[in-house]
Parts: sequence; structure tokens; C-alpha cells
Amino acid sequence: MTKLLKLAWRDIWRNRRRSLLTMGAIIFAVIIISLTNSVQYGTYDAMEELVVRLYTSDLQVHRTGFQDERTLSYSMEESEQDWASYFDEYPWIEAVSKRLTGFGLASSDSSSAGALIVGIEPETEGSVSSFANAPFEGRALVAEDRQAVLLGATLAHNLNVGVGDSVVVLTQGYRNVMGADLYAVKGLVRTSNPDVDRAMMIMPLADAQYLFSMEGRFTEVVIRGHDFRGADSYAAVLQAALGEEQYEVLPWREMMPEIQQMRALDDAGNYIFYIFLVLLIGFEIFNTTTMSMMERVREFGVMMSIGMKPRQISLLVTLELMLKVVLALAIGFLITFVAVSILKDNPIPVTGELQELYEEWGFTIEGISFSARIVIFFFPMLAVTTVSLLSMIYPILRMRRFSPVQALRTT
Amino acid sequence: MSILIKIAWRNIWRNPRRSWVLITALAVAVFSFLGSVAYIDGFSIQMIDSAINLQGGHIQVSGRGYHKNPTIRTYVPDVARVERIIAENDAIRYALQTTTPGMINSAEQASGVVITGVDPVREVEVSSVAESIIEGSYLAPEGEANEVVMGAMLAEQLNVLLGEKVVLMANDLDNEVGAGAYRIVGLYRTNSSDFDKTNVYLHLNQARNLIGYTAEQASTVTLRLDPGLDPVETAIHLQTTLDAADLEILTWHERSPLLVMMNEMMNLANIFLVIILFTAIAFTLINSFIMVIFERIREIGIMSANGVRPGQVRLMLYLEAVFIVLLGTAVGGAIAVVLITWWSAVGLDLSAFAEGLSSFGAASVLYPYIHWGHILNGFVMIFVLVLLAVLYPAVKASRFETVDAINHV
Amino acid sequence: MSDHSIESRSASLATDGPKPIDGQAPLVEATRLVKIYQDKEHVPVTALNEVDFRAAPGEFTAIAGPSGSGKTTLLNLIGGLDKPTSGSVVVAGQDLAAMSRNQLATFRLNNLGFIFQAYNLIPVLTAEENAEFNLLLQGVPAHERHEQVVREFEDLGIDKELIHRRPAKLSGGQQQRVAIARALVSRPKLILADEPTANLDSKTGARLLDKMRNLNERTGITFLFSTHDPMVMERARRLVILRDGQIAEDDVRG
Ligand SMILES: Nc1ncnc2c1ncn2[C@@H]1O[C@H](COP(=O)(O)OP(=O)(O)O)[C@@H](O)[C@H]1O
Ligand SMILES: [Mg+2]
Repeated sequence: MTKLLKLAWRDIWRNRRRSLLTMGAIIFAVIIISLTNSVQYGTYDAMEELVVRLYTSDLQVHRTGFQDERTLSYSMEESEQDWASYFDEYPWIEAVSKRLTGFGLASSDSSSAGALIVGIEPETEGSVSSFANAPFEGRALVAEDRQAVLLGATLAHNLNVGVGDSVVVLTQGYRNVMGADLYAVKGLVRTSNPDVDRAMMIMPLADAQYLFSMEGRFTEVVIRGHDFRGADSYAAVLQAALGEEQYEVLPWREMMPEIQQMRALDDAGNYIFYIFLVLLIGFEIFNTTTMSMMERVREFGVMMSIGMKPRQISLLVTLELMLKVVLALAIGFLITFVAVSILKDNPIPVTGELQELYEEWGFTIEGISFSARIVIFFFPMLAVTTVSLLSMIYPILRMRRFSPVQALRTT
Repeated sequence: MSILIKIAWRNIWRNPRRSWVLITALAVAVFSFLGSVAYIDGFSIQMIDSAINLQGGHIQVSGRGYHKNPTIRTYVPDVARVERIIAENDAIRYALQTTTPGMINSAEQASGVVITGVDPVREVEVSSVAESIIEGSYLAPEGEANEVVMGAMLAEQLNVLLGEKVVLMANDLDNEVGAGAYRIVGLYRTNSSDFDKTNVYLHLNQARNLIGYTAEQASTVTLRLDPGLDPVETAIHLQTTLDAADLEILTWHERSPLLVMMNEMMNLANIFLVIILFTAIAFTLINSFIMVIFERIREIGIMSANGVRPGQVRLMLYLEAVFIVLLGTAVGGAIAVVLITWWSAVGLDLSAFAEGLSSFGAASVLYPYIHWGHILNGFVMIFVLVLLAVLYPAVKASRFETVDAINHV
Repeated sequence: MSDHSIESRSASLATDGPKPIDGQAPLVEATRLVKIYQDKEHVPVTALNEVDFRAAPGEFTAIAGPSGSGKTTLLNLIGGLDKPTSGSVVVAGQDLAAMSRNQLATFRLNNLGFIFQAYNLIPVLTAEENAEFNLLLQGVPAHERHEQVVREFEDLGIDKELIHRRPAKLSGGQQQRVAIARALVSRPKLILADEPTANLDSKTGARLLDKMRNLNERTGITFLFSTHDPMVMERARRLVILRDGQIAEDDVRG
């Protein structure tokens, strides 16, 4: 076997240019596929993290049915649980904050616009999300604030108001009670999500409860866990503890299906492309292997006449190919790995129109990020190996039909 | 020259298996390129269609600054004059709208919406909302009753049914909040769930009452052009004939610059696709052609001795490559065209990704589209890439020393 | 190139047969030719050593000598297929050393015909297409080509039914005849044949050579062929013997 391996190794370098071209094809495909994977994982991972941090946080507890209906009748009450200490027993829960969200019509002196009103607890909101934390103008809300709001940048623009101005908000609250009040604009927020900027009106929870006539009530308990990727299992644990009858516990994945779907759609497109690319590599391997075999008919004839069995020759040829494949995979992975290790910490910034485009799609990204996770190599490794082995079937079957006499007669 | 074509063509069939593998590889690459172009162009067409059919036609006339900051204070004054001038061109259909942000309330739920007032008779000529009604009917032409048409998804969200009433609220020109109850007469569903959730339609008269516009005021005039009329030229022409400093006349390109850019980006992605696929093929081509020239080294020597110039040797190999590409393109192209034609008839169901797609403003059923210009560009690139790949073997063949080549058996 | 002028020129030459070398502008004039090869171990091998060789138009000359004496090298240098290490080759008044690869190719196309030992033909072309190859390159119209090839095939005794066969389906002798037809059909000034009969049995070889001599006499085209076959040497009108890269004997016969 080691003798065969040695022979195989020497044969690879006997036709150096041909072997190098075959390996070059594999290396090329491996780099393209792993790099695409790296960007895919890197960018979506980063985006998911940003989006989760921005607003939904890792998971939320609602009254069962709220997610689908989003109406105020699916609210929860302060007295239902000892909310303040309920989550203490879960060590992986890092922060909890409550919100009350509903719609209203915001008006200024000159204009009006529909607004998504989010009542927050200023003391704790900052530890579960980022959207209300850092106004680019004015200041964030504090616990003592009353009749104070932060506005999304676009909403403020549409209403033609700035910090220090006031807005009137009109709502149809809980059980159809109309509510209206006057609020001072304390700050303006700009997120990388245009939907948020166009609609968001942030006020203290108490103000929102008063506006909607919902004292002591809220619609969401927002929870930040240890690691947002574990949200699914966190949610399952809490759901079991709280029971499905009264509460729905949703991880971010279920609250924002569009990101998952975009990722899946992108993946689908990528994998179709990978398959075509690997198929082309398969043709290269098939063609070169078959041609080399034809060229070496005489040589194989000699080997057979000195007692080598057809099976050993098949093994030799397969070994030759696998050596090339393994070597090429290793080189491809190494190059990719070095590249992504460097790029990983330096996302390629996305600026100007392209950034606008991403934002328009609701994709909050810092740039094109690369991932060095090992999974980026799984597909190329699997696919290239499979295709190589498949493309050996025909030449090996042909090989079976050789007899030494026949082989030696051919020139 | 013709003898070189003859030799090149016949050479392909000396090792048919090898040639067929090359042809198949090229066919696979051509197929995936065409599939991808058709898919992407299908997307573009759909999004452009929706920009034109749902969001303002080929050209939209409004008060100056309206597009950047759409408030009811920016309107088209003396709209009758604008209508008269537009009507001079028979190839333009147009309709007036008033548009205001507002709030919609059902018994249980409220939501922010854009309230658009339309003239139902004219509106059907410029917008596809009327065609998208899936339950009930469009607004009555008279505009005497309090009627509203809304997206089926919005109705679902508000928990209201056809025939039930909703309350619409909006600020009027005097900054007083106006409100009214309207009966739902029609529910529509378009490609875009975002659109459906945020747009409700009233009769123009009702909407003018709500926001305090007179019959001389409108937010926008939406224009739809007959095919053959160029939006950009028409917009420029209108600019001069309308001659009003307080009007804004925008084509769909200007209203949706991101859409235009997205198109460019997707086309760029296609170019990358072609380059990658054909670089992968280049390895196979180079390897095969190197084998080819070494197999034929003697006859190349014979030709050279008989007076074939080095350039003609190269040409012969290029011709062989071109024939192989043509065959691959024909095979891959034929399969692709059949599949794409079938696809674009039945549509490609992407409903599993519906929410994701609608964040692009794209529908969940995609109809691939064959855009010949893009395909032609791709083919030009394919030929260039293939010839580049064959460059090395061809140059090598043309540099063989004649004596060595002849001695080679 | 017009077929006409060649015919008339050759006709005038044909009547009086070969001329002595002196007193006439030579067709081939090789002066102090040296060719040194590097062998596999990079040891220099002198294939030709200061060879002076001239040939007049209309000659029918054999270059003989043992294997390795430099026959092929000499013919290749005269044919412009290879460059000498030193010395000069002038053919039909043209100094080959001064020409580019493209110029050499064109020169060969219009002035020379080649017949090699074997595998002379292009495998994917039929006998007829091989024979008309040079005419095709010269851009001679189809009907003229066909006429000339048919005449040449008749002349060389190539069976009509062979004309659409590819070389693989022809015997060695048939292949060589097609190669001769190709060399002749464009009426070159000089035909260089490197051991044209080496791969043929002696009867076929002798017949082929008689044909060539016959053609030489009719058309006046100069033939220069190498051989180590006595039967071939007999038929030459001038016999040059090479030994170790030098001309050992030069014998003009009737
Ligand atoms: N390409 C080459 N490389 C090295 N040596 C060569 C080459 N061609 C010919 N020779 C050497 O030059 C000498 C003359 O060869 P050649 O002209 O072929 O002789 P002939 O045709 O008379 O048999 C021989 O010794 C031969 O080995
Ligand atoms: Mg020789």
C-alpha cells in the first residue's frame, strides 16, 4: 500500500502541468465556495446580532395571541406575576424590561403622521435593546420623564418638529377609549432601520399606559439572554414554565421571520451555484483522468504483465486522484482560512448608495463581514470529494475490461 | 481559411468523448448563467412593474418637494390646468390622487396607513389596485357613499370583514383632526405585503372632505404612458409645457433610485457568476487543449512545413474552441430556453420565503424573464473568457519548432 | 502564383535536362553550413561541419550516407525548417536567414514542396483535401484545384475511389503518393524528400522513384532527396555522399 502510495505520488508529478491544472480547478472552486460561505455566515451572523440588539432583543413574553393580532386586548397585567423577581431563577437571563406598544396619530402644528408608540421603562430598556439609548440629537429618556418622547428621525422630519417642540398624539386605546395628550420632544433617534425611523415614537411606560388607558398593563416583556443564538432553547424553557394557555414566549427568529427567510433564500441560490460549480470541476476531473488512462494503456499493460492486478491499478489511479484532491482541498482551505482570518476582524465597509439599499431592505449591517467558522468548509469538502469519486467510476469500469495483451497491442 | 475551419471542425470529432465532456461542461455553465439571468431579470421586471403599477406610474406630477416630504401642505394647485395640458397627448392616461398619512381604527385595533383618494374611473387606467381586488369590488364611481378599499392583510390584522366599518383619522389643512367611518367595499392583494398593509383607498371626493382640499387641489397626478413613449423625454417635455416652478415631475427612475441601483447590482452579480463559472471551465479547457496540441504535434509540423503560418495555427485552435463553445451554448441554451419558458408560464413558487421577499418589495411567485440584451452581454463575455483560456495552448502550438514537431511521432 | 508561368519555365528546362552547376544561377546555394545540436546530456553534436552545397534548377539529386551522417539536417536547413549554427542558405535567390517565421512559411508555401518519410498527411483531411492543401492555402479557386489534383492523381496512378478516403484508410505507398501529389500540385521550384521510400517495400519504393524521376524530366522541378537505399541512389542523376557531417563524394551522372 505504501509502495502504491509512493508510486501514485510520483505519477502525479510526472505530468506536472496537468496535475497542477486539475488541482488549480479544485483550489479555485474551494476558495470561491468557502469565501462565499464565509461572507454569507459572517454578514448574516453580524446582521442578526445587530437587529436583535436593536429592537426585539433575544426573546419576548406576550399574552398568547399577541404576535399574530398585535392588538391591545392581548395585554398582561402587573399583578399576574411577581414580574420583578420571576426571572431571577434563570441564570442565563441578563436583563428584562417591559413595553407597551400601540398605534397613534401624531400631529405637529403643520402635519400629522401615523406613529408606532413604544412605552419603555427607561431604567432597564437600555440593557435589552439599543434603539432608545442613544439619540443623535437631544437626550435619552430617564425614569423621571413625563410627557416626554423620542422620535424616529424620519417621523420628526415628516412632522416638521425638532428637540424642544411638542407633538399631540391621538389614539384609540384599550376598549376603544380615545386618548390624546401633548408631549415634549426630548430627542431624535436614528437607527439603521428605516421602518423604525419612520414610525417610532418612544415614551415612558407610564405615559403610554395613561395614553392608552391601560394603567398597570403592558404588552411585551423583553428579555436579553446570555447568548442570542441560544434564544430558541431559552424560549422553550420559559414557555414550559409559564404555560401556553396564558403566555407566548417567542425567540427573535420567530418574531423576525424575514431575516431567516432571506438567509434561506440566499443560501438556496448559493447552493445551486455551488452545485453547478462543483459539477464543472467534476467534468475537469473526469476528462483528465480518462485521458490519462488512455495515454497510459501501454504502461498499465506492462504493469499487468508483471503481475499487478487490475484492481491494484484501479486503486493506484484512485489514489493518484485522491492525493491530488486532498492536496488541493488543503491548499484551498489554507488560503481561504488565512484570508478570512485577516478579513474577519475588518469588515469591508458598505457606504453610500449601497448602504441605503441595504437599509431600504431592512438589513442592518456594518459592512460585508467574513466568518472563520469551520462550517464554511463543509460543503466544498464534501462536494469536491463526492464529485471526484463519481468521476472515477467510468475510467475504473473501463479499466476492468483491459487485458494485458490487449493493452500492450495498443500504441 | 476555409481549410482551417474544416480541419478545426473535424478535429473536434477525433476524440468525441473528450469533446462531449467539454461541450457538456460549457452547456452546464451556459444553462446556469441563463437561469440566473432569467431569475434576476424576473425579479427586476416585477419590481419595476410594481413601482409603475402601484406606486405612481411612469411619471408623477406633484407639488415641489412632495417626493422628499409628502405632506398635505405640498399639493398641485390649479389641477385643472395640469390635467388640460396632460390631456393634449393621447398616448398618456392619467389620474388624480390626494394622499395623506393617517390612522385606521377598527373596534379592536389601530394602525398607521396612507390614505389615498382616487377617481375610480380614471384610477383603473394608471394603477393595478382595482385589478387586485380579491373580495368585493372597487370604489363606486359617484363617490357619494363612505366607502373604503383596503388590503386583505390589513383587514386581517384589524380583524375586520368586508362590509364592516372602520374609522379613518387624518389631519386636515387647518391642522384639525378629521375622522370618518367608512364601509369596506373591497379587499385587494398585491405582490407586496408591505404595500397591502399600509395603503387604503377612498373616493377622491371623500378624501378631499377628510383633509380639506378643494376640487382645485390634488397631491399627485399619476401618468401612464403608452408603450413607445419614453418616460424621460415625456417628463422633460411636460416640464416645459407645464412651466410651473411649484411642480415636481418625476419618472419612476427618479422616484426609485434604489431600484435602479439594485438592478445594476444584480447585473453585476451576474457578471461575477459568468466569470467564476467560466474560470472553472478554463482549467478544463486549458488541460484539454494542451493534450490536443501534444497529440497533434506532428501534423502541426507538417502543416507548418507546407507553409501554414504560426497565426494560422493559432486561428485553427481558436476555431476549434469556438465550435465547442457554440455547441455548448446551443445545447445549454436550448435546454435553458425551454425550461425558462415553462417556468415563466407556471411561475416559481417562493412562498416559503414570502416575508423575506416582501422586504425587498418582491412577490412570492417569481416569473423568470428572458432579457436578450443581458444574455447577449453574457455570451460576449463567455467567448472572450474561452478564447483567453485557449490562448496559452494556441500560442504554444504556434511556437513549436517545425523540425521538432516533424520529428515527433 | 500563376500556374502558367511555371509551366512555361519548366518546359524550357525540361528539354535540355540537368545542367552543370557552373555557369548557371544555382537554385540552392548553401555555404559553409555548420549545425551543432545539443544532445540530452547537453553535449554538443556536430551534425554538419562546414558543408558547401549547390544545386541547379532541374536537378534530380540523391543525398546518401549512413544513418546519422547529417542528411536530414541538410534538407531541413535548405527547406528553412531549421536554422544553421553558422553559414548561409540561399534558395531561389533568397537568403533564408533574413526571413521571419511568417516570411519563411510563405516562402515554403510558394517555392517548396516537402515529402517526409511517413505520416505526411493531415489525418482529418481526405486524400483529395490533403493533395490540394497547398493550393487551398494559396487561394486557388475550387475548380482549378480539383482539375489539378485529379490530373496529378491520374499521373501518380492513384485510384479514383481513394480520393475521398482519409489517410488512416490508405496504405503506406498510397499515402506517400498523395504526399507527392501535394508537393507537386502547386508546382514548386524545389521538392525536398527525406527518405521518401524508407517506409515502403522495395518494389513500391522503386516505382515511386521512377515516377518522381519521370516528373522531374517532364516538369523540370528540382528534386533533392535523401536515402540510404542503393536502389534509390541508382536512379539519381547526381549522388552526394555525406559522411560525419561532411560531403565525402559528389558524383554527377547521366
Ligand atoms: N534534434 C537533435 N538533437 C540532437 N542531436 C541531433 C538532433 N537531430 C539530429 N541530431 C544528431 O545529428 C546528427 C545528424 O543527424 P541527421 O541529420 O538526422 O542524420 P541522418 O538523417 O543522416 O540520419 C546525428 O548524430 C544525430 O544524432
Ligand atoms: Mg535522417
